[in-house]
Amino acid sequence: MRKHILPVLHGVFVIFALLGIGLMFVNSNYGRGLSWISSEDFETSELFNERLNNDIHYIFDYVNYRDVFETDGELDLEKDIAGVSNIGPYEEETVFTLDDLVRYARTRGYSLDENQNVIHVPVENNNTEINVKVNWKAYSPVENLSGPGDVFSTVEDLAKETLSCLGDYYKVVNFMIERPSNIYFQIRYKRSLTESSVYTNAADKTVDELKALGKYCYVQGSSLSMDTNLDQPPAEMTVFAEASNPYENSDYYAIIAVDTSYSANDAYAADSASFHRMRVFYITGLICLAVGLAGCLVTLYQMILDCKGRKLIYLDKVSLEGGLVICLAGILFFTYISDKTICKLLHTLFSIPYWDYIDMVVYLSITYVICLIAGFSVIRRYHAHTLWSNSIFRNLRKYFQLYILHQKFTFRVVLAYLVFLIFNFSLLGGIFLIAMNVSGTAGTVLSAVLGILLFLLDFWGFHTLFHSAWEQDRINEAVKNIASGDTSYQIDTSLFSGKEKVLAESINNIGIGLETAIQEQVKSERLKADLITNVSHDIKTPLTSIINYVDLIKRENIQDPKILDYLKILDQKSQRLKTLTEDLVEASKASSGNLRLDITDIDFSEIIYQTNGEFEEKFQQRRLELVTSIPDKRLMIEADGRRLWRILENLYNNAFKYAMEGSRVYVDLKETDDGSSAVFTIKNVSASPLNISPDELTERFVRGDVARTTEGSGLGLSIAQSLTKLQNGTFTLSIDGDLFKAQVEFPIKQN
Amino acid sequence: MQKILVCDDDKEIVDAIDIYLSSEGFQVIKAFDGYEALDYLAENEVDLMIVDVMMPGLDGIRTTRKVRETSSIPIIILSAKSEDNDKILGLNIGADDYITKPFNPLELVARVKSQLRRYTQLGNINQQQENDNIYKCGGLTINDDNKEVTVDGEPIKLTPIEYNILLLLVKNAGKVFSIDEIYEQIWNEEAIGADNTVAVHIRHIREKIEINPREPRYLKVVWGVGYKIEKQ
Repeated sequence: MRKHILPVLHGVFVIFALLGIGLMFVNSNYGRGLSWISSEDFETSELFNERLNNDIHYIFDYVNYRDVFETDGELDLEKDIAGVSNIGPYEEETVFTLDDLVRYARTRGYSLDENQNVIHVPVENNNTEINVKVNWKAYSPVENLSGPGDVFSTVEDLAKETLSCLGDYYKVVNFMIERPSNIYFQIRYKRSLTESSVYTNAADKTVDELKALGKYCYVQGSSLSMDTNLDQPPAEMTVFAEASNPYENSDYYAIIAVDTSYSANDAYAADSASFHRMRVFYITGLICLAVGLAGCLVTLYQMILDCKGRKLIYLDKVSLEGGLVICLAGILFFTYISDKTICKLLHTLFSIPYWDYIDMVVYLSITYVICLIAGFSVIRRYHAHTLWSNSIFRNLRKYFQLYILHQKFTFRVVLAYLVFLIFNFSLLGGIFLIAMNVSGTAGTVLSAVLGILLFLLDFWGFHTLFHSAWEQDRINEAVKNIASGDTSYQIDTSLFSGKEKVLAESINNIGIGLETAIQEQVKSERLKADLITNVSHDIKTPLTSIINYVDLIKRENIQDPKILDYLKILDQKSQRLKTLTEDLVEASKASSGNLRLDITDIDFSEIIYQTNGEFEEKFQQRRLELVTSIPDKRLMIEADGRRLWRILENLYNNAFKYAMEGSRVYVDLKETDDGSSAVFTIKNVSASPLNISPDELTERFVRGDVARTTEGSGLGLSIAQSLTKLQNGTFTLSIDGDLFKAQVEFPIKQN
Repeated sequence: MQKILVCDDDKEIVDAIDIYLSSEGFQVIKAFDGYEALDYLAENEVDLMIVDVMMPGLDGIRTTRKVRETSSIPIIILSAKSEDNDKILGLNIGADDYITKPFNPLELVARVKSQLRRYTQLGNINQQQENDNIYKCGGLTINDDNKEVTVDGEPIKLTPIEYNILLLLVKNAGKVFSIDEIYEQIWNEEAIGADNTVAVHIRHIREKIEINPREPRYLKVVWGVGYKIEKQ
């Protein structure tokens, strides 16, 4: 329901607004603004003042013309009005009577309308008017005939002028004296106590009576100020009263009053009634307009809210620009059609003054309805997110990008630079041309606008270059970070654009890929370590029995040397299997980092003395001499003591097993020259030739003696290397002929 | 005759332990899982129990806990798990010792004996005359009056320097002494250009007082710092 009610309501409010505008538009007060509405009385209105001022003019014209046109209170057509003479050597004055001039005017097509204004109907005229010299005019004082235009005139103009004066005279006589009028005047000039000239349409009323009628304006010759109750006192009245005084004294008065009860049916009464009516109309119009507009806005807002989630109609599927064109075309088409049909139809119903308004309403309504449809289409597109995706401009841009983006970068750079250059040159040229050719403010403004454009363009160019450089920096940093092992490093691509964005995202993906690969590897190492641990547990149980029962056999009193020999081999191999399972677990844990380190401060010298103590006597078994060189100071490092012991134990054991019997084993501890780290070195001469590379030695299960007759598991060096790495140390092996050298380096703890 | 309960799901291991311990004069009662061991313990008394960790049914850890609810007999855990965590767990729930498989039969016997001696000695500890010059640390006793050192009642022969070092460490049980400190205390001279002497002596002491010198119970090596006697 709401779906249909809202548009109908909206339409009603639109009609309200149009009605309001109509009421104001056709009002006689249209174009006066709004201030006049505040005056509730007709007497204070502009209209009243205008009319009164005009009437004051006419009344004083009447004062001037009455004696010219009248004899004994009656219009006398035989009165002499003007005297003229031919221009030339023989001047002979001709005197025109009122009758002459009026009739002449009539022959020339001049007459008076019902309001006593001069109207002119063009008549066939073969006589060319010649100028005559005007010697005197009865209705105009002699001293006024000063300029050539006044002195020389055609008879036709003279007649017209006379007719106009007669009209003014009639206005007063007809409308104020002969017919009942709401305006009253009484003007009295006194020559002496008994003799005076009186001009009035209310001879029977006293001044006070006239004042009591309503609005009045009273001027006295003896007073400088004007006595009036009008809002806008007619200042001219004083001037007129003085100018029209036929006597050389100031013994006169003039009063003009308006009967504000408007008892007489004249122009004032009509105006007053019209004023009140129009005021009501205007106020009604304003209210209608306000209500209409407010209603329009509210319903429009509701309709916009309702628009959300509406289904797209066919119009919404046309591209944005297409829709715009359709709308414009629709406006033009319907305006044209209605101009030919509806407007014509309506013209038959209304009178001509309203036609403009009618046409305007029709055109506006058509435009409004179409704009409304278009607007809602745009809103529906917005809600459906097809506003931008559906536009031709976007598709054009996409195709343009297809041509540009898939070119080589060098080509794009050249193209961009050329475009930049062309713009720059044309703008500079434009500024130069304008500065040369256009002067004044327009030139300055134009050059300024172009200058700002140029600056903006260049700034944009700079910004693009800077942004691109910034992006390059970010990418370099990321590549450097990833290369140095921080695979979790990610570039924030939110500020990137174009090809750089693609590049940055690719780098991020490489980082993610590497990270996943590494984590996979770590995980699989861990699984491997777990597997090895579990397998070794399972091996240990049967191994226990083997070792135990071999031992039990050994306890039996066996004399057979062959069996004793076999037993020795069994004993040796089972013991090796034991070390192997233990070392295997340790090696896998160390290499996968699946160990919890207990890092403390450790004196490297101390641990080497301790290790020496553990091994000294053992070395003597193989007549190995331990030659130690340790600085006489503490070398504190951060490490896990027990793991460090394992490293040293493995290295010493390695020397014990593989050093040539009776040789010397050199053990050194040194501080590097820069004091940053402590280096432990163990050197020995190998008993068997070392046809092997140092790298191979740290591989698991590789042993120096290919025959593998010794008891080692082949994991010692590998474990030592892994444990050193885990504790942030470096482990180096080197072989020089038969000289085997192992180095373990740890950073010295800085205080 | 002292009775030892051996509990392991591997029959051959139990049999081998039986042979070793019987030859030493112990009576061995065999059990092949935790319930069996608990059933036996419910009705009989034993002097010591050896228990495996990984067993079907009730495992060694839970068995040890159950036993500890009612009894304070020495318990030695025998396990293939050699990680520190496993050892710590075993000792924390009330076991007195932890031996990893594959074990050295001699070490096993030595540890059994050691545990039994300590257990029986603890019973008559009050009979021992209290003396200011007698220092004790677990099963380790030093009588400074007659310069006699015993571990779980067994007399130990030490050289004078070894004795002095041990005495220094036992007197300050729990404190870690560096090589230089020990040298200065024992030889009464400044340790200039120290060599391996102290470390060698320490090793000798360990070999004499410890059942397994690689895993000492009393004289511990704090690698990179020094040596100490564990406070017990």
